[in-house]
Amino acid sequence: MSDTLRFILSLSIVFAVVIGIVRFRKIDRAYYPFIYYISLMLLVEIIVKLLMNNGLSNALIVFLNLYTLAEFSLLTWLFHAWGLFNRNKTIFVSVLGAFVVAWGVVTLFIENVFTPNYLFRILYSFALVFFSVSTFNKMVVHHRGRIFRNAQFWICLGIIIFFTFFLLDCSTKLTLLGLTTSNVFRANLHKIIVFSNLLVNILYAVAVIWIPRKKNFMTRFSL
Amino acid sequence: MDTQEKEFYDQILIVVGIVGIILLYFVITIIRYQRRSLRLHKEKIQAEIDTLEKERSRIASDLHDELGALLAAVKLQINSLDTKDPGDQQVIAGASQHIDNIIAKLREISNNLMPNTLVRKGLKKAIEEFIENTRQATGLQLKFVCNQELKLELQKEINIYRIIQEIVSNTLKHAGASYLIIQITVEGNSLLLMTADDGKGFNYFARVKDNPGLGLRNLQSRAEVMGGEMACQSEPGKGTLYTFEIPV
Repeated sequence: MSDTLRFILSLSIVFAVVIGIVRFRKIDRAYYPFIYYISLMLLVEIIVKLLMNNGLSNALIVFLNLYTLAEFSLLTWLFHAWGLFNRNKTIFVSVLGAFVVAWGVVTLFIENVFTPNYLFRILYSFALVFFSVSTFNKMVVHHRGRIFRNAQFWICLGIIIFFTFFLLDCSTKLTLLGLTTSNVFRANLHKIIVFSNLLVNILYAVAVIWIPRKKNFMTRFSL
Repeated sequence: MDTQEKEFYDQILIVVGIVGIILLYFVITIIRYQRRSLRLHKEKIQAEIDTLEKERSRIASDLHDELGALLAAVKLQINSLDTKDPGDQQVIAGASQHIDNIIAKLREISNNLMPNTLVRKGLKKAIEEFIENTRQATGLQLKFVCNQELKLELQKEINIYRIIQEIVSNTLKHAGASYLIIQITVEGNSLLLMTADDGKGFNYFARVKDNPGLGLRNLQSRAEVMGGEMACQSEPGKGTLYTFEIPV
């Protein structure tokens, strides 16, 4: 698989972003972090491609290390907006704070900023899968409509699928760290993430379609 | 890739495949469970509401047709008494007035249980009548806005009427509001019912989490059996807004 094809496949997130931008003013505010997240994903795919083309491998690793923190923060904010932490701001800030500290420790002390922070990636992938499973379970019990028309269902499904495979990918890479492996092997390994990313981008596009409207009917008449 | 790498890569692919199959199975079972649970839940609520409405209808009919008729007969008999004694005449007039009050109260109770207007003239007229009666009885400023004709199944009309009754009752009992506005619009295949009051409001999520109470549960159940959705926006000091989106 060529780099160009990989890049084109990763751009499949553009569908979700375009739908998100078109619907942005009409959707429930609780989903705003998700729109920010998919927009960031698109931006990151483009920046990563630019850095790779210019051979800036160190900058690329630093950038991806920073991205892991931004990704976790946005998704945790999304789960908080959905009421995962009982809408308790203190719990949300504590969880976020704990992971920022973990990121700092892993990225700056255990590894270094020019090495991929696989440990942190494994840690936050676990956390995001747990958050998604909890939200998924809550939704299955409480949701009374058609589950396929529920944006939370598609988003949680996407997060569970992507981060489970991302976990496997990071664990394998962590195991292989320091060992010499061929480029073909690494490329093949990366294919797993490319295809799971493609699937999840499609799920996200479906999710954005089903994001509920704002409940602002009251603006049509005033007290 | 050398042989060792190929073997390792194959093992990774097997793990990925197994994880993929487990995820797929997890999702399919969850969807099936949710569908079954949803169907059972709806059937249960529908049965409860049907029983409740039938019982209300029976009691309303008994009160209006039987007790009302009996009391009217008693009044007729009392009024037919022929007495010249002013004291007795006063007692008869007083008793007759009491019977009139009881009949009026019975009609009111019977009407609350199953409004005749709802069955005979439809939802819009029934709500207008209910709003007018409540306004006169309580002094709460009520405004009802509906610029379209509403043609719905009787079951849905009853549910929407009950939702409005419940909201008005909650506003009177708990909100401490001076103003309540109710609006119904039909947009495409959806009926939008919206209410807003200027009362003290409440923390909806905390209330739902602790104990949603019979009133809120009732609203939710009636919205669910109609296949609709309910949303409540309320904060302490900022009034309460309810929105219902019901397929028609």
